[in-house]
Amino acid sequence: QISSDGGPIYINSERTESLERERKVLLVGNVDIRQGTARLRADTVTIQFAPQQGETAAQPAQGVAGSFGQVESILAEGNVYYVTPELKAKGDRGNYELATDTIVMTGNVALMRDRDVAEGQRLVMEVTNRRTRLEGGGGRTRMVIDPEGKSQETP
Amino acid sequence: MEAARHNDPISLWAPRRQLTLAQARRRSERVKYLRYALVGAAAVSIGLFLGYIVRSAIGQESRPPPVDDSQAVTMVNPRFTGRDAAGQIFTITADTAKRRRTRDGAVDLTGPILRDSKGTEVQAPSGFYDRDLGILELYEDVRISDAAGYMFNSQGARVHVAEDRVEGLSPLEGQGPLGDIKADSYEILDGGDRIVFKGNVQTVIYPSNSGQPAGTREGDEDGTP
Repeated sequence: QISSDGGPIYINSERTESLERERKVLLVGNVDIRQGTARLRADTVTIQFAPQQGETAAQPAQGVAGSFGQVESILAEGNVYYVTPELKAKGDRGNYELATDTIVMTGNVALMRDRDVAEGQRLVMEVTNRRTRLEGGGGRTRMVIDPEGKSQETP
Repeated sequence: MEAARHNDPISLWAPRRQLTLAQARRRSERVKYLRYALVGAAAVSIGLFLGYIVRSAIGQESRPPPVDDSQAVTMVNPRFTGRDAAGQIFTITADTAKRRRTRDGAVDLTGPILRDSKGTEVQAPSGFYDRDLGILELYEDVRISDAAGYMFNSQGARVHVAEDRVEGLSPLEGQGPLGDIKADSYEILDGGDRIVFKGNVQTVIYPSNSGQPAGTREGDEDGTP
């Protein structure tokens, strides 16, 4: 999920490819994904679904009953923006993993929270716990904090 | 010569066969004129006959009388079969098929149903099939369903039967394993394994445990991943 609220995922795109056997969906062209209060935009997005219980790769579920099931990972590439009511993040690449329930953004990452701005190479956001960590990667992180803004508790 | 004939008793009651020279000449003249007249009349009638044929060949009358639509050929319970680009068989059945006069190989259908070997079925109240172009157009309430479980409705669709591709003439809207989908066109590839939606694609995915708070998995109630 891209939002701790869960719920249906609304997607707009210019082109969508549904790959049944691989249980994967490719979204291409102005991809706009909304779930709850979170929003993800990118040039292309690949959504990988987890196999259903009692279903093997050799015998995938078929037909309407065989719905795609749980989202296992979402990979966004190209002009990736992730926006929630608390923060806005931008990067070249964003990857969500269900197992860790974490979104990792890499490549020219910028993070905005109210009027504070921070830049780095790798941003890790835990969706449910709403905890965010920015890493400089090889270099250093840079941060601009607006003292006028509300006092922020930064880890 | 004249006196001898009168004294011969036989000649008195025998028909008069001999004509005088002048009478014979007049008779010949008459026969000659009659012959001319006969030949002339024959020539005139032949000329009229040939003239009529030539005139009707040139004029409008030579084309067959126009048949209006109500009299065009209508087939009942027709069945059309063919193969798509991948060599797979498809069949198109309908309640009736009426040949479209303006284009050979094109028929207007009522109640058309297209079925292909992958389990795709496309039906509508009315449609139009052009065998040469390999295009089946369907109008009004079009219903599309396929083996993967997708079911679509549209107000107009064009099926490129040779390419196994359905193109929406108006947005296609429906559901399937992925969720609810709306798109301008829809294409079945790789035997139904890959389905491509194009043009203003709007999808709603319902993750199977979307009801539960995100990140929780069965049995793990405290919410930590």
